[in-house]
Amino acid sequence: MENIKLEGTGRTPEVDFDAHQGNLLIGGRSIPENSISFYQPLFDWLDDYVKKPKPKTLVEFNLEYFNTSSSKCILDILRKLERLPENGHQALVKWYYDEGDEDMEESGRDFQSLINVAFELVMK
Amino acid sequence: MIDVYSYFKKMQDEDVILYFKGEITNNLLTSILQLVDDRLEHKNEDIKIKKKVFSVLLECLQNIYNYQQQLSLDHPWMHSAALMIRRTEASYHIITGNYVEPEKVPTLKEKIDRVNGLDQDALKRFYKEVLSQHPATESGGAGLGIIDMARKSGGKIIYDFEETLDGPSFYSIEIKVEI
Repeated sequence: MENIKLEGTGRTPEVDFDAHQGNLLIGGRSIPENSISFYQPLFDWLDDYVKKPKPKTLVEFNLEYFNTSSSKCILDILRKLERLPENGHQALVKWYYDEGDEDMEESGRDFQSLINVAFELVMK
Repeated sequence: MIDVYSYFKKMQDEDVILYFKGEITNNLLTSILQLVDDRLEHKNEDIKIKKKVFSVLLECLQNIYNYQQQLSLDHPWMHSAALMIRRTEASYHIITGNYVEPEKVPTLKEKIDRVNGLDQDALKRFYKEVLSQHPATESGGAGLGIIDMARKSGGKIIYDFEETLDGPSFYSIEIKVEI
C-alpha cells in the first residue's frame, strides 16, 4: 500500500503515514474549517492499513494547535486504531506536548480516556 | 475628515491591541491568526497564555465564518463582522460581533447559558460527551467550540444579542483569558 506524506501548511498538519515501517505521524497545525475533507483520505488509508498492519504500529501526534472540528477527526483516527489491539497487533499512541502547555496535555488526557489503545503523554 | 485621533484614542484607552471590521474570508482568517500569533510571540507571553488566546480566537473566527456561510447572500453587509482583542494588565479579552439569523438566537443562548453553568470538571465531562457521541460535520464540531472556549478561558462567556430593524440579530461574545 502507498504511504501518505503531506507537508504541513498554516492550516493543515504534516502527515507521514508509512505503511512499511508501521509509523504514523500527524504534526503541526490542524485548523482547517472543513476538517473532514482533509481527514477523509487518512481515514480511508487507515481502514486499509488496519486490515494488514505491521506487528507494531507507532502513532505520533505532535500538534501545535488543533481546532474543535479536527478533534472529532483525531478521535475517529484513534478509534480506527482500536482495531489493532483487538486483532492481536501492537499499537502505541504517543501524544506530544510542550512543557507548560497545559491545554495540549489535557487534550491528550481527554483522548486517552476515550479510547482503548496504549497511549502515552510525552512532554517535549 | 473623520476624527481618526478620537478612534485611536478610544482604542488606546480601552487597551485594544487589534480591531477589525469586515467580512472574514478564509484567507483573511489565516492572516489574522498569523498576525495575532506574531504579536503574542513579540510580547513574550507564557506558552500557556499564548496557546489559550490563539485557540479561543481561532474558534471565534471559525464560528463567525460558519455563520456567514448560513446567512442569505441578498445582503452583503450582513457578512461584515467585528473582532477586537484587548490586553489589560490582568487578561486578554477576545471579543467578536456578527449577524446571525434570529431563529438561531434561542439555541445559541441556551448553549452558552448551559456552558456558563458548568464548572471545569463538568465542562470536561460535557466536552468528552459531545466529542465522543456526535459525529463530525462539515462545518465543525456540533457545538464543541463553545465548550472548548469556556474550558480554555476558565471564566464565564459574556454575550449579547442586539435586535436590528432589518432582520438579523447582532450577536456579540466576549471571552477572557487571564494572564
